[in-house]
Amino acid sequence: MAAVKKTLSIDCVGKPTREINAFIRQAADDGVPVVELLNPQARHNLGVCVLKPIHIVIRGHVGYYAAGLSDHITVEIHGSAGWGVGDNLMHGEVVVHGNAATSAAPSIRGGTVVVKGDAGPRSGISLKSGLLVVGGNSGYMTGFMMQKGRIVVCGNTAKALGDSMYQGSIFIGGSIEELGSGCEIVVPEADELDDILKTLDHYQIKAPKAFRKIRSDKSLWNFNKHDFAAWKDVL
Amino acid sequence: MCGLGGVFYKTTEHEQKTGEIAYRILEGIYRRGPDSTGVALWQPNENGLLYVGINCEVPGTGAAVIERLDELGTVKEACDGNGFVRAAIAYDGADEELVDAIDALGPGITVGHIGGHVEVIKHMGGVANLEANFHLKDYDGQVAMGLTRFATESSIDFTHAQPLSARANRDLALMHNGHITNYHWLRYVYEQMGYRFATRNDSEIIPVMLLDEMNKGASLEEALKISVDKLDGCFTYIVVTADKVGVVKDRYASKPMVVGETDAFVALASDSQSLREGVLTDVEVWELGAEEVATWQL
Repeated sequence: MAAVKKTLSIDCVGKPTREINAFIRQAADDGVPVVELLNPQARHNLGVCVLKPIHIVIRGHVGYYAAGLSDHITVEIHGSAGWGVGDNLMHGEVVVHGNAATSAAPSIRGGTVVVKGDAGPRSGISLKSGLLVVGGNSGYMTGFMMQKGRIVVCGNTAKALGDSMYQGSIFIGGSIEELGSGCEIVVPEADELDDILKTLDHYQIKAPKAFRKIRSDKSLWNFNKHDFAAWKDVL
Repeated sequence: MCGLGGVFYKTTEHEQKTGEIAYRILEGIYRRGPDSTGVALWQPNENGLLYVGINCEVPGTGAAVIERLDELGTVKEACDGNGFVRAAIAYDGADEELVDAIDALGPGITVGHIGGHVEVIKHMGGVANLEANFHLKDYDGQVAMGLTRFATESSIDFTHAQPLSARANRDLALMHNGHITNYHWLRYVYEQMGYRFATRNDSEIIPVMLLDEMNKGASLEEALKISVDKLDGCFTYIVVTADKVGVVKDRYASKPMVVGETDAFVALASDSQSLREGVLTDVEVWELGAEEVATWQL
């Protein structure tokens, strides 16, 4: 068997996105451990639908849906990300060293998405499992309709935090501008905090002094026609 | 969908041509809105001229429009862009009279925008048509903000292409990405108050609302904040006035807008890729949040 090269690099300039993604998938098929993308220039859809284990290092900013629809991959993005980074991730890890725009880690089913800077509105929307860590602040409607999993925000959050969440938990280190519908603030368990601090330490993110935990208060789980006023407010 | 983007240079001296940056940004966001492209330009206008942009939907009517402009005032510069006339005229009459006189010329002829500092140019299709007809790349003033339109509600023509303004009011160019869902109600309310509308484009409600709030005493910043409460639907919009550039996002943050600011310039775009390709530097960008309003003074 021919020796597998340890790291393959590809310069994105002038190449169609389809060709770059095919290159990554081929490298994963060939068992190459690391692929490095140079000059991504905030291009959309990089590293999408990679279904075999590989480590992707992206040297620069990425556009929409980076590392989306992927499984068993680990990604370092040395820049900022556009909308929907790590969309629908199954397993693996995506680390954004800069900021992320709207809907970071939407609908992820597993794995970890880390945004070291700030995240935009609707971070962790419809989270189905896995972990989203935001080192800085997170925007409007963080954790909207999340169903499972965990979101950790070390900084502040904007309005409608955790709105209409079903299950799962959100941990906030900073201020909460406004809580969304159907959720409540509780005191975190010691083992949960322990786990979070270990994770932050692993990603070299400075932990805030304390965390508050947000979970569903279950008031929106079942429709109650006698409490119509509450529903009117929600909708 | 629509794409928004452009650049505002903080000083008159700058490294790259403003028009070339705007061209690259609008080219980058072309796929967000291939129907038409328009740009609001800021002009220093030391000679006190009036910049007039006129929609001419019927082919071949541009020359007659320029002739009429020369009767109403004195045409200093004019360009018949085959569907849209761009002119700078010496004019000291009432703005409303000028607009009424041009609008009366025939069907499909309407004044799109008038301004003492803000000039609007627009054309069908992509930004290449703006270059071909109006030499956008040659512009080197302080502001060039534009929109690539993806029409959802109203006609695809010059009249409904953006930037839009409040009829017969100077220096208020508006570019809107989104959909105003309480448009019909708001339009009824403003019509009752005496405002006249020039198009069936839901975005036209925004400049009218801003004008109304400012007529009632609000500053531009205050009017922008009021609009976040009064407008229903999804919107990110850019407004260019005689002395300010503003950008506003709705309370759901449903439409994208990234901002890149340095000591020299502020660049805006619907996506960061187009922004960076526009300014040709790897500038740090941030995404405007829900209900966020930002303005920059010229």
